[in-house]
Order: sequence, then structure tokens, then C-alpha cells
Amino acid sequence: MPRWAMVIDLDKCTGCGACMAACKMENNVAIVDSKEAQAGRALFWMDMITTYEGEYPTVAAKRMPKPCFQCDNPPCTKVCPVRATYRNNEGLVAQIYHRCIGCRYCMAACPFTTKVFNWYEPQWLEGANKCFNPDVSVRAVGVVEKCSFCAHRLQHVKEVADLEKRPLQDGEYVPACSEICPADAISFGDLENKDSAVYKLSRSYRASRVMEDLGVEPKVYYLSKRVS
Amino acid sequence: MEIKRRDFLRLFGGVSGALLIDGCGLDEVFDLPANMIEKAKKGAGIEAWSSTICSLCPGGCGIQVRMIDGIPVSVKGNRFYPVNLGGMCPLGINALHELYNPDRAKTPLRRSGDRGSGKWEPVTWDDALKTVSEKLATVRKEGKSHQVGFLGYNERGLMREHISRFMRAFGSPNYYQFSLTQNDTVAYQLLQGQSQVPAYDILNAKLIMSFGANFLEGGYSPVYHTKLYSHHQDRNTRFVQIESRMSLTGANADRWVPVRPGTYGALALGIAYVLIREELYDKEFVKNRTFGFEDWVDRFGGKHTGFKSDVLGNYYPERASQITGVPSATILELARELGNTRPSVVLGDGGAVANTNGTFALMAVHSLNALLGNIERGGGVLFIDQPPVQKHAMVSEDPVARTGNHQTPIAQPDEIAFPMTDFSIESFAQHVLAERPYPLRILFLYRGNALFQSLNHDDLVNALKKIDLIVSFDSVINETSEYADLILPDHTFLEKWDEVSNVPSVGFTHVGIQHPVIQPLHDTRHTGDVLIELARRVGGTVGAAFPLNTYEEEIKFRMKGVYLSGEGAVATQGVRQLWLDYLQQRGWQIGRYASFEEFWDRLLEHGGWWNPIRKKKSSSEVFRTPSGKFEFYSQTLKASVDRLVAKAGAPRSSQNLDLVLNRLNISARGDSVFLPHHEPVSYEEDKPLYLIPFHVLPNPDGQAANLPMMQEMFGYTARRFWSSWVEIHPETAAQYAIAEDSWVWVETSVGRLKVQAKLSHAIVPNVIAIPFGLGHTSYGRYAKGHGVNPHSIIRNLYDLISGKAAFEATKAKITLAS
Repeated sequence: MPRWAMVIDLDKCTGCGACMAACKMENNVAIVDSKEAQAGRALFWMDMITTYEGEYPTVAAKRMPKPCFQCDNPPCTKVCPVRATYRNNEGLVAQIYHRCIGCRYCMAACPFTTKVFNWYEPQWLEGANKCFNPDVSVRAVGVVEKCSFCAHRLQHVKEVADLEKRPLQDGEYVPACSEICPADAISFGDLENKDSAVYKLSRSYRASRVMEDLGVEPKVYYLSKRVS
Repeated sequence: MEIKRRDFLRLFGGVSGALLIDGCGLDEVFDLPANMIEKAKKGAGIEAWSSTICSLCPGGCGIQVRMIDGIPVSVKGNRFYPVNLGGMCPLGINALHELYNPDRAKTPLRRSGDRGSGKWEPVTWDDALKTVSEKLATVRKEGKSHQVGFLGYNERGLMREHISRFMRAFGSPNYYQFSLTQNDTVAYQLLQGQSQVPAYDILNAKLIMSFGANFLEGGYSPVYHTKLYSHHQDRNTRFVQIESRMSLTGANADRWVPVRPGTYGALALGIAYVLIREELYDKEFVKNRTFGFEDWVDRFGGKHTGFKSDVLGNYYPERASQITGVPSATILELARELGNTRPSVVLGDGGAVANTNGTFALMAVHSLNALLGNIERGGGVLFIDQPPVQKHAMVSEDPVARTGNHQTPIAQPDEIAFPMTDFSIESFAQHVLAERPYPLRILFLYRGNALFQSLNHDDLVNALKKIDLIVSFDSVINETSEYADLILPDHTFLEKWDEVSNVPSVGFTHVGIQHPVIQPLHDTRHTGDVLIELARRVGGTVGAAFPLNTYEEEIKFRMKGVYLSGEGAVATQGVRQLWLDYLQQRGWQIGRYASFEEFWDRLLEHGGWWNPIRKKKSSSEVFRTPSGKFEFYSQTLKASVDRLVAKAGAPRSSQNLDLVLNRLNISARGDSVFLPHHEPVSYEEDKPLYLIPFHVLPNPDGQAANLPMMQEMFGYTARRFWSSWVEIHPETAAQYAIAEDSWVWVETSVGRLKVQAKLSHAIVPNVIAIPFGLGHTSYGRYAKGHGVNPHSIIRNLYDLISGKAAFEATKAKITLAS
């Protein structure tokens, strides 16, 4: 079985935020209005963390695009009382929205705060139901959601490959963020495939994972020359 | 467990997916034309992709629109379009929100209340066009055709020519373009005689030194530059950014050098000093291709100071350090790094030009390129060839038009100001207000939002109120078009034809074809077609100026030139630069198509045409100056100042020269005036802090504020959503007892704004920065009432050479709001 993983090259990433916007559009993520967003309830499946290090004038900025890390040993699935989130056999941590009871245990359990909650009736561009992505369902109020590595795209390319009676190829399945990135900083593929770009990159001397000592085995690798 | 697509949809409830597949209740959900809904009802969604060009910013990225049953549902970058190679910025992803925006003008509108009251009633196209054409005909009958004005935005290529053609045939010299990037080539014109924005070969340069040019976030084409930047690690390019507040570009630089606002030119000259003193400059280039470097003698025997002695005399590192706040050790380091790395490229824009001394600062910055011999060299500064499009013959003018075209343009400064430009929004506002030299009776507004972007809003509002008839082509009513009498809404870019060619600062010749991916959703019309219609209704030579019936045909007509030239290639897979170079070297070419129709179809399918091979240029094409060389001593500037002096009275009197220079805010005297030099900015002494506005990627010029997702993402780097903030250094904040998130008043001599503070080490102490883009009072439900507009409290000052607004020339004080 494949293990889908992402490698984000921080030396290439400029922090432009295209991945954030592309993700929101692709996955029909609600737009949170001003008051609620300022209360910290903006919904981003792919977030951009910007931090500044050092003191004036030797300041350095660090950017980190942050999707769900799709852990191989996910802490969030273990606390879900209704099995609304689980790790499927391709290594994706999936959400079943209509099972979710909104207890937010999984949000508390996630060490990377990648899960977000629909605190309010979700809103989109008014009167514009037509620019929804028809491949992705919309979520209701009171439901936890998060980055799915654009699993609907996997379904799509699998069907195509099945019809053509061939195995999936490296680079055929890519999430929206990786596809749109203007700096080509996000690579995506199967860690089990030793010829894939992500497999090679994940073994680069620049590669590291966030909070590796927790043992949750995230499948998002960051590449950076900078020692942090 | 294996999840199949069908299960997936069932599992996740597939609301919209199911809707499209079942086709039930579509009428309620989609307000789309009925025939499209019928199509959608017929069965499973059929997916198709359509290539076009994004025009949410001037960047000109190729995009592909995903269509399900002919309904656009998402966009992605076009992988083969050479400008962006599949990349997009967050703004471009919102293309569909622009298309489906609920605040679009859905039919032509006539104002039914007072100007600015926001009351509108729908009218038919015929009525609206009749009103306008009758008024146009009346004005022409009276022989006053010059009293018609057209205020455009940043249109280039065909649209610009189309509008010029209309105005010329009609008989008015009053076509102006107002955008934040207007008049930004003046320094290149003075030094090099070039009136286009240069391209910088960032990919092949070993060192990039940018003076305030925020090319990854703002500039003309952020995605193009991001693509090039992403290679800088593998190519070991070093990248230095010099600016007062760390922008996204600064955040990506290897070194960020903070500098005091308004002193970028002094820093460049400090670096020039070291280059010259340590003989690190390109002696051969300077000797053969430049003018005014050494001291020289003119043909009357007058002795002149050269750039070399001026710089060596005035800009030694200690002095440059005193002016700029950059330690002299840093200046030495920067200069030595620059002098010892070839090829290198020096860019200037943003904060460097947005000040009263902007032209001289940019001249100083660009003269570093000349010192290093970077001009027209790989890894340096390049000027790009125009695409070989076919053009119409000149319009024939009737006597009315001829008289009209010879009138003084209304925005032309009659006083001594802006010698290098015919237009500044300030001179436009003042002259319309004073009806000098004549009143303006009809004004067309095309895109843009002068009232929101410019300074001195009050005068512009009053000027607009003086005009009898204002016709706006905006698809969403904004602050400026609130003052219009008629709205003749244009399509959004996904519904219309256009040609997006040669985006400034992109390093190759290209033409992008924008074509409708969907039929217009509302009763809107293409402005190009409306102009043709108006010209026809006016009739005579005006109507005859447009031999073709539609704007679409105009594009086809132009592209025939490209087809016939046989140059370049349609942007498709595999046609990369190396391949084209290879063919060129062997005297072959791509671009053999059986017919124009085939070429045209391929063009539409793939989104555009490009030609990365640059023509060999003679020295006189690169340097279009009086001396045919790069002019450190600008004879062009000298000539225009002489003209102003002559206008003011006796030509050779030094008193008059003093008068002119004082009026132009130039404090330098002697030859320094015409050399790149540092002109101190006259800041107000009684305020302690420099106030600078800055631009962010989701909303670079305030025009994206009608897109809810961009409003939400507006301050994602600072974790501020839908709102403005003021960036302030912690030391400065401590002086005023300001903590993170405190509400503060930022007060200037013009007004005050209440904003939340954001402490940051990435800004010069004593500088405060507010993002531009929010603070709309109109422009739809998502724009209105969020954040503040820093331009509303910035002093009404201009770079008096180029006419660009001086956004960084204001000082402010800050107090805690209780």
C-alpha cells in the first residue's frame, strides 16, 4: 500500500500564501467573517506560519506552510469517541464529517493544531454556490475538519488509472497546494515508491519533521539549509 | 478499506457534487443562464479545461479554468505558459469570486440620487448609449471635442491603443492612465532614453541587490519572479534587499539591510563611492558606453563636473551612513560584494521611488548598473522587444478632431512641475476643478479607482463633481464610480476578449490571449465594443476609425502580424527556451502553421505566444539618449529644465534657474542637478515617526477588496484577518507605552486613523507602517467598512520630476487610544 507524503522545501518557499488560497478553494472551506476571524477562528487547512528571529537589524524571517501532517501514528484518531477520524490503509488520516459530534477532542490531541472547527454556520461568497468544487462536500456547523491531502483527487486519478489498467504514476496524484505553488516548493508522492521524488527528498540532509520526538511519525517533511 | 469515488461521495454527503450529477433543483442554486442549466441537467458532469490569462493584477499569468458542463468551477495555473509555468498567487485563485461576485453591476445603471449617494436605477443599453452618444455628438458639434476625458488604469497593448484611437479620432488629447505604477519609467528615460520598465535577469545573476523593489509580493509580475527566485538556492544566487520595512521579498533575502525612508539614493551613491574609489567598476563599459562619468567640457567650453568627482566629493561612506542610518561598514561590505560578483543586477522600486526624491533615487540605483556594466548583459538589466503585432493605419482626423487634438491636455501642468510627464492625478484634479484651460464635460472611467488610491481625495471629489457627465465601465461600483452618472458595466476577465502582451519586467516577448470561458452572466458589454459602438453612433471619421466590428476581430487582426512574422512559438509543452535557442542558431523556426486559422486555434487552446530570443541591438537602440550612451549626466533632464527656465522668462538668467529648481523641490545646484544625487526629503520636524504604507500580496492595489477570501487572508503574515494594523518596532512602541494589539491613533498633519499595533523587529525604529488596500467606503459588501486606508492621512506631495505620489514623505505621531 502506498504511503502518501509531502515534502516542503522551505528554501524555495517565499511565503506567498498561494497554497492557503488554493486549498480553501479546492476544498470548499468556509470564509469566516471579520469578527470571528479576528477571534482566531479563521479556517485554514493549509496555514502559513510566519515567525521572525533575531533582533533588529539582523532579523531573519521563517515561513512554514502547515498542512495536516497525516501522522502514521496519529494521536487525534485515538481520542475520537465516534470514529469520525481514522487512519486509512494508504496512510491518510480521514475525517467522516457526518459522524463528527463536535467534541473537539481530536483538536486538543493534535500536537500541531492543524484541525479546525466550524464554530458558526459556514459562509462562502454570497449567492455563489456555483464555484464550489463539485468533488468535495461542504461541512456543517459544529464539525471538525482538516487537510485531507486532497483525497478526492486520489479517488479521481485512481479511477482513471483503473480504467486504463495501469498503476498510478509518481506525480499523478498531487494536492491543490502542490499543484499551484509558484515556487515549486511542495513535492508530493508515495514514500513506499523508492523512485519517487518525495522518497529521495525525504532522505535529504536538509529534511526534518516537526516535533519528531513525539513519535507520531508525521508524513510532512521540511527541507531547510538553515539549522533550527 | 478501499474507498471508491462513489462511496466517497456518499460517505461525505457530496452535496454540491450530487447536485451537479442529479441535476435537481439547479435553478434555485445557480443563477446561470437557462440554457446552461438545461445542459447541466442532462447528466453526469463533463469536465473540460479552458486556457486564458488572469487579469486580477497586471502580472499576466496563464490560467486554466476547470469547467463542469460549461460552468467554471475552479482555476489553476497553465503549466506551459512561460510567465508563470503553472504557478499562481493567492489573488489569481479568486478569479471565480470575481466572476460570481454578488456586487457586480448586472445591467447598465443610471444614477438616481445625488452624486455619491449610491442610488442607481437600471437602464437599457440602448438608452444608456443614446445618452452618451448624444452628449458626445453635441460636444463635437460645438467644436469642443477636447473637453472629453478618459481616465484609464494600467491597460497596455490593444486596449490602450483602442482607447487612444477612439480619443484621437474623436479629437481629444485627454487620455490618461492612473494607477500606482504610473510614470515609473522616468528615471530610465533620463539615463537611458528608454520608456519601458526593464526586465531583470534574476535567474542568471549571481547577486541581486534590490533597493525597495518588492518583486516577490508586488511589482508587475510576482509569480514570474517567484518562479525565478525558487532557483536561487540551487544556483547559489545571493540576494540583498534594502528597505525600511521587511517585505515578503526582504523576508526571503539572504540579507536585509534596513534604511531610513527617503534615503535610498544616498545609499546607492555611497556604494558607488566605494566602487569608484576601489576601482571595482567596469572600466571598459564606463569608458565606451557612458556619458558624464569623468569631468567634461561642453561645446561652449564650459567645464562640467562628472559623476565620478561628484560622488567622490559628496558620498563618502561616513556621510552616506549619516544620511541613511546604514553603518559605513555595511556600505563597504555591500559595495565590495557587488563589485566582486559578476553578473549582478541592481533593482530599484517601491520605497526607493515613492518619495519626493524618487526619480533621483532611482537614477542613483540604476547608475550602479551602468558602473557594473550590467546593461543588456545576461544576468543584468534587459529591455525587451515589442511583439510583432499588426497595427491599423493612423486614424484620419476631421477638422474638429484636428483642432481638438491640438489643444493643451487638461492635465498638463501649466506651472513649473512634472517636466518629464504629461500627467499627474494632482494636476488633473486641480485643472478640472479650476476649469483651466477649459472645463471637462465628459469623463470616461475605465477600471482603476483613482479616488481610493490617490492622495488628496477632497480635491478629486470636487473635481469630479464639476464634470457634466461621468461614464464608468466598472463591473463593481467603487469609490470613484460612485460619482458617475452612468455605469456601462464591462465583463469580468473570464467573460471577455483581451490581449495581454509584454507584461513589464518579464524577460521575454510574449502575447497572452484572454478569451471568454463562459458567456456573460449578466447584461454587460465589452468596453472595447462599447467604444466602437459609440464611435459608430457619433459617425463620420470617428466611426470610420474602427473598420472592424468587434474587439475580438481587432485581436485577430493584431495576431496576424505575429503569425506572419514566423517568430517565436505558441506556448506549449516542450517549447522551452533552450529548444528555441537551438533552432534559432541553426536558422530554423517553429511556428509553421498551415493557416492563420490553425495558428489562432492553437493560440486559444494554449493561452499565448512567446519569443524568448532577443534581437541583437545596436548601441543606439539600447541608449536612446542625445549622446547615444548611458548618461550619468542627463542631457534630457537638462533640456527640459532649460525649457522651463525659458518659459519662466529670460533663458540664461541664474535667477530663473534658481526659481525653477526651487519650484521643482531640487536643492542641489550646478551640475549635480542633472546627475544622480541625493535630494533630502523635507519631512516635518514636529512629528517623531516616519509613516510608510506598504503592499501585501492578497490585495496589491486595493482592487481585490471585493473578494471575501482575500479580505480574510489580507494580513495572514501578521495574523490579522479582514483588518489593518500598524507595524512598529518594539523599542519605539515602548516609548509610547504601546503593547502588542493595543489600539493606537496614528496622526499626521492631514488626519488620523485608529489601528491596532503589531510589534515587529523587522522594521526600522522610528518608522511605522500601515498596509494599503483596506478602508473602502464603497466597492461592495466585502470591501466596505474593513480596516483603514493609509493614503487618506498621507500628505499631498509628489515627486516633482515624474509626477508620482510621494507615499513615504509623511511623518506622524502615535498615541494610545483610550
